[in-house]
Amino acid sequence: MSIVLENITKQWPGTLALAGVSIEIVEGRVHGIVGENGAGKTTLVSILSGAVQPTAGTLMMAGEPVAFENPAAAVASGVSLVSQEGSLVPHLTGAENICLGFEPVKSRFFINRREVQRQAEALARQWFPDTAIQLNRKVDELAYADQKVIEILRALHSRPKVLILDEPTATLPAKEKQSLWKLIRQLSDAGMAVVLISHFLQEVIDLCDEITVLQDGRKVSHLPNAGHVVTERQLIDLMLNRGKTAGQERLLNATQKERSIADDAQIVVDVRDWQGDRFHMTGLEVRSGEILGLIGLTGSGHFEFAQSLFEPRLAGDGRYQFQGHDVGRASVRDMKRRGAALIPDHRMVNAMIGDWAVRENMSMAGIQETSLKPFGIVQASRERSETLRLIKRLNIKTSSAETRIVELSGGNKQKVSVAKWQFAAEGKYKLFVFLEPTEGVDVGAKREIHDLISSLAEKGAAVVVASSDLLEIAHVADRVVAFRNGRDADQIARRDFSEAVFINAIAGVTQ
Amino acid sequence: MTMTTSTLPARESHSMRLGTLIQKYSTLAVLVALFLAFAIGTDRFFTGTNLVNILQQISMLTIVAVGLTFGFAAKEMDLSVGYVVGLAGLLAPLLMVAGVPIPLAILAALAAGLAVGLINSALVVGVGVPSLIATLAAGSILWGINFMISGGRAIYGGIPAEYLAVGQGKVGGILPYPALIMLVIVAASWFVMERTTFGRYLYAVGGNARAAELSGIKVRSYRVYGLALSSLFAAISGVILSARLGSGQPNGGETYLLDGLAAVFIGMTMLRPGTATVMGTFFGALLIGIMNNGLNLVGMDTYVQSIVKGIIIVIAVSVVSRTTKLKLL
Repeated sequence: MSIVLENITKQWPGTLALAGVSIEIVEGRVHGIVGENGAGKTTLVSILSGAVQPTAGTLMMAGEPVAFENPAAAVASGVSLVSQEGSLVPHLTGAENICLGFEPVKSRFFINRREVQRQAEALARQWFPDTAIQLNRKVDELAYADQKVIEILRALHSRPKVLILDEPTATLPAKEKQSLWKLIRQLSDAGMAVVLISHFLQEVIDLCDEITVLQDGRKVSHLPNAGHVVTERQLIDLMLNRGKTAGQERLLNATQKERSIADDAQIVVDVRDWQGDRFHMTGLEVRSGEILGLIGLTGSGHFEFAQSLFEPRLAGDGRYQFQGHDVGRASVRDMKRRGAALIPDHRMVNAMIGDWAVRENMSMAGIQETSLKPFGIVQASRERSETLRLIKRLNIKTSSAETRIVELSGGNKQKVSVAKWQFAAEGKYKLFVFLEPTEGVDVGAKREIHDLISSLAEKGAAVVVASSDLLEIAHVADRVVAFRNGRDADQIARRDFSEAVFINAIAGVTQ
Repeated sequence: MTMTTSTLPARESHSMRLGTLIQKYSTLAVLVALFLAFAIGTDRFFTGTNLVNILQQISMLTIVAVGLTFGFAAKEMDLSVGYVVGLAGLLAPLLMVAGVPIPLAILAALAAGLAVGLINSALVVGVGVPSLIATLAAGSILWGINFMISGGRAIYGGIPAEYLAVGQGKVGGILPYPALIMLVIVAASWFVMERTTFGRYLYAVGGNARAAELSGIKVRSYRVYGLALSSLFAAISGVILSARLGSGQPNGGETYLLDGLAAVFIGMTMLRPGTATVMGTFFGALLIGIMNNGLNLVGMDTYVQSIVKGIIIVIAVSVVSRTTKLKLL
């Protein structure tokens, strides 16, 4: 039996997570869904598994429209989800986990252990007849791949017709992935309709019979993949290439004045073999007045590297000089004092206090500058006037300085996040690190934030921008470093900027 | 963004503002209603002596609760305060009976309280034990220590009269010293929390520790300050308690934990809903004080008072939990 999504749309306040997506999931086939962060994969999984209801569109099963009011309804209709995060109870055995919540009982009260074991074994034999699975051991003693198999069996316990696997190999060590791949194939060979969400593109190509590519909540392509002929390059192109889909190619070719950075401009950031758990930067200099763009696929290390310029503790090894001085393992506080600033991604989690007013959020990093020493007595009038000055200068749309930050739109929240580093700090910060600067920001405000980034560089700061939006990088950066598999792979000068060059650099295709 | 989404937040925030408005003042309304009910219901309530009496009765509770407020601001809960009251309330008289000068004895009692706070914060910030559990364990240990150092008996006899004056004397023959100390502490704490960067940072750490850290605030230090001040204030309260009772009691401060938490929770329903504030806590303590005093005058038994108090805590916490994302663990 198949499940069909027809024009599924999901509107969150302020963002369109899915825009009229249609997908057909067919029994006996593995259907891969790929896309960058924010493309809508998570929302799609949530809708399929009943955790979220679509704003518009229909789900059809066996030709009948269905509505999943909650996850239980989805399971009852035959759609099971194996979620990304482990959902097992660690100190129960595999068999106990598989039957969790559906335990066979005897004498009305007692769990029938023998029956639990029998059901689990039957399930394992039915789906994976030639694989030995340890059902008697506590799951926290099992290898990660075996734990994943237990999770899959648990999802199969309700006899689903459609099985959704959300990043099943994300937590697995490389050598354990293969055994799981084999089992996923076996599921579809036995007639199951499988949905595979993964950001390991080669894995998707090797496993899937067809692939749907999402970008910014839209389905940009549906590729048949019989014979596994789709290439990684092809997928990356579809995932990242906004020019063609959004008709914004002109943005990339915008005849923006190329900023000339003087050779004697001060070197603000100088790193050599600077590395952490998930990134390795062989060497990089960023000068005063320069905007450096960082690009790469999710998980390729460019975000981690950018963050480590403000939080050096994230790196374990290597050299990082900030304005000519070794940083070592300086604290965030130390880096701030030396003149580094971070405008993080997920701003409500990393930058803002939701209960607080615009004023309090804006003054969080600089309030001591407008306070009376030595006791730090807050001078309310100076705090207020400085806030109002920045609201005006950054054109922040808020009814007042006392409005709660949560009431502002994404773009205006982001402006507050930038303004935080300008509060009573004119010229104090020499490095600004931006992570996803326009995440959840509408088009109009996007341009303003780009202008803001440029103006910081024009005033002499070094700026590092990591973004998954290539057009954005093309628009603001003077130079780009592309990351692949945790390492800096390519440097691209502004005169060579084009979407094709970016995508080649990310995908590792040499020209 | 489309027109429909841009008008939506405004409407939401309007109804939300009305909701918070009602919520902000409902506790105050309860306070006034209680006051009026007792004033009308019994002729012994609304007299100068009784009102001063209420201030005197709530002084030690308020000081403990204001201490808790510092911890709450940084999202740390201190369940050991009751036993710190007991510890300080025993140490000061014990040392004085042993011949230690009064100021030194008081200082030693306060230092002991501060030390407990620092040990608590070493566990919470250094080791990573949740404050609820670390301070619960600390409380159990302190209870034992209190009985050990006192031999399970009250300490009295040989306590200098000057010391007793701290708890029993009155300014100008009207305002009791404990009430005066309380008012000074409330005013000073309010100033520190609302008008200094220290208070701002403490609230920032409680509001969003990650955002505070990425803004360059010393998150770990402020968590320590919250817990240390909580214990120090409990110790101040303990010293006043022993001076007022004229003795050190091994289980002297036990009721202050629950009443203190109640005062903070009640306070969290007003002013800035969901946030512990000094003034909110003061009103919370006042409400508990008025209720205890009034119910006493009406002739209600203490166990009934306990039931009423419990119900009020449940209501206050329910109100806060429903309207804000109150997370204490």
